[in-house]
Amino acid sequence: MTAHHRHESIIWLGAAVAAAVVLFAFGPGIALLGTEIMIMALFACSLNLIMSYGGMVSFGHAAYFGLGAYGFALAIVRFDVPPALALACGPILALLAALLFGSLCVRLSHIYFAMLTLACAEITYAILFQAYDFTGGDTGLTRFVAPRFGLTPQLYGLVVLVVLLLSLLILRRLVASPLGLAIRSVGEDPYRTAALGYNPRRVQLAAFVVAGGFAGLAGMLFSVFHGNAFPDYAGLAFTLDALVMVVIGGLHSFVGPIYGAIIYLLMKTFISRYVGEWELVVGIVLMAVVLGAPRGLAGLAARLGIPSGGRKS
Amino acid sequence: MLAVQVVNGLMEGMMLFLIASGLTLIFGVSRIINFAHGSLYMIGAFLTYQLVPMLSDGTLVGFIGAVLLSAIAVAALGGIFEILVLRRIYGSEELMQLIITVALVLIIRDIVKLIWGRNDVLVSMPAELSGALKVADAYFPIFQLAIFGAGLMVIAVMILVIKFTRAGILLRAATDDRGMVALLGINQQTIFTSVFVAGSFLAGLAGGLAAPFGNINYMLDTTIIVGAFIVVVIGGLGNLYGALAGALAVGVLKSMGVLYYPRLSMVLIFLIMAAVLVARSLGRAGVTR
Amino acid sequence: MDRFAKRGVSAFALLAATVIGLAGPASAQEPIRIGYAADMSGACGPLVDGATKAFRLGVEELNKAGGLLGRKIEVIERDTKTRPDEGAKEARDLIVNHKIDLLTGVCSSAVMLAETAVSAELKVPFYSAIGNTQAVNVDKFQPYFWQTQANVLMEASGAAEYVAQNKAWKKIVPLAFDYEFGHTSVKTFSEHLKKIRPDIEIAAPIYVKLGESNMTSYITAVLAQKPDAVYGPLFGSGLVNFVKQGRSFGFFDQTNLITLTTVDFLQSMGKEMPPKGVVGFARAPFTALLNNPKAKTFVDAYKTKYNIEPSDWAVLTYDGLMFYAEAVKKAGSVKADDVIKAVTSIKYSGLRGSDMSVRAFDGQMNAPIWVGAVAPDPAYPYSILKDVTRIEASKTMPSEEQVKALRAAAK
Repeated sequence: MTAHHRHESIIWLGAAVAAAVVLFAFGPGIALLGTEIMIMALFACSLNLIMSYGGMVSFGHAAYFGLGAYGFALAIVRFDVPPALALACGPILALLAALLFGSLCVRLSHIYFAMLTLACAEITYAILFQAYDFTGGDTGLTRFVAPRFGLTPQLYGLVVLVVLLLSLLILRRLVASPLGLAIRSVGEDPYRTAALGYNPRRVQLAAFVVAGGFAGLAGMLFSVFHGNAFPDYAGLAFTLDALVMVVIGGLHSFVGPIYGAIIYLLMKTFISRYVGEWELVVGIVLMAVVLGAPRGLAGLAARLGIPSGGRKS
Repeated sequence: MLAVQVVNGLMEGMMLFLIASGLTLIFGVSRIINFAHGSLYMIGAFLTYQLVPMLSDGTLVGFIGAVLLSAIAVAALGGIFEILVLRRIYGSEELMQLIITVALVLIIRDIVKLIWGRNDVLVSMPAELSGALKVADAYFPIFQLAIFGAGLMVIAVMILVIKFTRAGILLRAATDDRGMVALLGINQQTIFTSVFVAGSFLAGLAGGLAAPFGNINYMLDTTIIVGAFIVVVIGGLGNLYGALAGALAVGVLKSMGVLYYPRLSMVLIFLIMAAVLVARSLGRAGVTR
Repeated sequence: MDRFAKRGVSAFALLAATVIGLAGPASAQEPIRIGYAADMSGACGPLVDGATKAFRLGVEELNKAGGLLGRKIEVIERDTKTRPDEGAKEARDLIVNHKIDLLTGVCSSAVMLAETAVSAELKVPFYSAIGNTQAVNVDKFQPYFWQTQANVLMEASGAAEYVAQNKAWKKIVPLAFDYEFGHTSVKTFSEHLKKIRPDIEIAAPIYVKLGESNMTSYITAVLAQKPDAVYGPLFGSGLVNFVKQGRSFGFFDQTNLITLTTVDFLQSMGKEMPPKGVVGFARAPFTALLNNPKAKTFVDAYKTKYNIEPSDWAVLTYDGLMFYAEAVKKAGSVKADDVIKAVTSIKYSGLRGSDMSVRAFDGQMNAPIWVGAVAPDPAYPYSILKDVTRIEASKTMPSEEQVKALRAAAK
């Protein structure tokens, strides 16, 4: 291990300890909120991989989040899979769906790509919504496991923190790997990438599947967190949530979505407690970010001298 | 029976086209994906609701007057938004443009809620347009026939403007090659603003015209925007005739679907779009941009 | 230093800082705390509006009268945004952070099921006054739950009872929104009607996309079957669209619509309501309750405060709250087990009449429904239910055996 790597590991460790302290120091209410933020941060990071690095804007990313939740829930409810094994079913189902839908979607680009991802997500949503006998329909699945498997909010938060950190490390390794470079390259200029000997569609599909898998992981964690699964988890509202988190946090930044998740969820949670018109506030913040700080919070932080600069291009 | 459903579908399709026309017009020239188009439509409907009783409730003249005034007001609103906000981000990524229109959706929805409350409001049907033509056993509502006529008029006016006026020539030129138009010394900014105003006018017009057709509340924006988008995508973004064909096809397919498998209507429109997009992507080798 | 790592640190530091700032102050145990987590924004927003107003009014009145058990009532309102995850989250937060004694609110079936699961997990009493899926009574029943309005099984059976009396009707086409409520309502209505009127033909149901605003192709498809009546358990905006668009097809000259006509819907429709052809069923139409002095007092107070007559949702919410207050008085405590015991043992007389009680095995109140023809009335600027029949729960409520059978079937 080089000195550089050791240094980096210490910093991640420090961050993890800080987060763990937060989870344990302020009671279960804060632990619950912190856990939700971490799960949504993972979801947003997975979207960020294809958006910021792969240059693909998806309007249907929640499909994989929702399938992550349902893969887990259905494995238990319909197939009597032991819960420990069912945990793996969520991300795997999401991954497979991403492979299927992704192979269709990557044939298109820009808004057409986005609209086809939307269509795939809406079809997923409709199946979850309509197949009562299998998925429970719009009334979803509840009470099939104890929420958080009965772990205390703090302990489950710790589990999610560990999963989040591992996922971030994997994603971070990925974007620095040759495949990651190829993904960035396709995001910037598919023609040049093709000229370099890569098959741009394959590269995009790889990114799409990885993103779908991590979204599924987040969805599975969310399903365990609440002990339920609803078609809404695959719906447009969740996709929009993730898009907004990425933009507020900062497009083209690796940790931007984490900032975004923190800010957006705090806004959504607390503003709606005092103001009925919470969406108005979110709208104004969003507009201010796009006009005033198009690199999001990560970009702002960089400008203030906090080291969090954007992705190099 | 089948004939009735087809006619019905065509009428529904024309309503979709009225919404989609402005959307595709704006995209064609400015490449802006305007999520707030549904919100502008909603404002058009609410303004019509507000204006109809002030002018002349229940009469055709009052209704048309209210619709036109509402459309003009919505056009002005669109112009203000374009000048104050959109203009700053034409150069940035398409995602940013999209997000800013999403922000506008959120803002407009809550403002509408503050002004007009949460409950449904209704616009009464003008006396001249209520009732139906009865052919054999089938009813053809006069209102929907009138909307169909209004849709045809909008198309005719748009074609005339695009084909024969200087503004139309500029518009076509800008749709094809924005850079070239700029090089020719035409102020691109003016074109963008005018097109956004025109698109907003069409949104307001559609909202006003459809106002007596159903309920009006703060969720009208999301109710219609997705369908309108899909029609535009099916027709090919920026393609007016494509949008018309797409809208009519969607209307008829939906109407026929109700006869055979109504539960499909939840995804039908997405299936159509997916089929069109996948078909379009097939046979293309390499990279598409 | 590596920029990824640094960014990781600053992100977590931000999380830490904000979370520290938000750790709320602990407060005294004195007031009775009620968590009101309702679908204030999103799809259910319009329905919840009147309910929230009535809830606030009810709490105000209780507090003016000295609170409950000598303790003030404190309400913490939360917006679930008509999203089940938000419902579960707010319910859990209210219980964990605010130590509420009672959870209520809701509207949508999904949000209700999400919240009832949290109530079961954390053992805090939860009741529903306006959402009415039967799943909370049947397969998802848990002992800390009760609901104070007729559930969808009872409502649909009640409508069937009324329809059965009309001997002229020979053919019915069901039409409903394509979601759990719609499917259950149609299924229950059809089964109940078949039992009491085997001669009636019930056509294959037509399901409409939830949130559909253009109903025309459904309307023509229904009319083509030439039914005597259409059983359409729609409500709110969807019903507005169906009726408005149906009128232009001469729907109400050709056939009849049997549907859920709540007062807010009738108020929205105003003079646009067809003068005939609509049979309405309702959960608590104030116009049918005015003979009851308690209801009269409430309607007047509501109208004075909000300048409009209360919707069914408002009446149900107020009545549900007063039922809880009564149970707490009987229990002498707000402890979950004491409250549940009182809830399932008291006889309550409220806005909707006397002798109201909740069954222990499914948490269902023996709530009636009202059915009548919708027609204009000079006393109001909108149509109301006329010649109303009150259909008692005894005719519509599934027996314990039936509930058990349904539970077994849902497994």
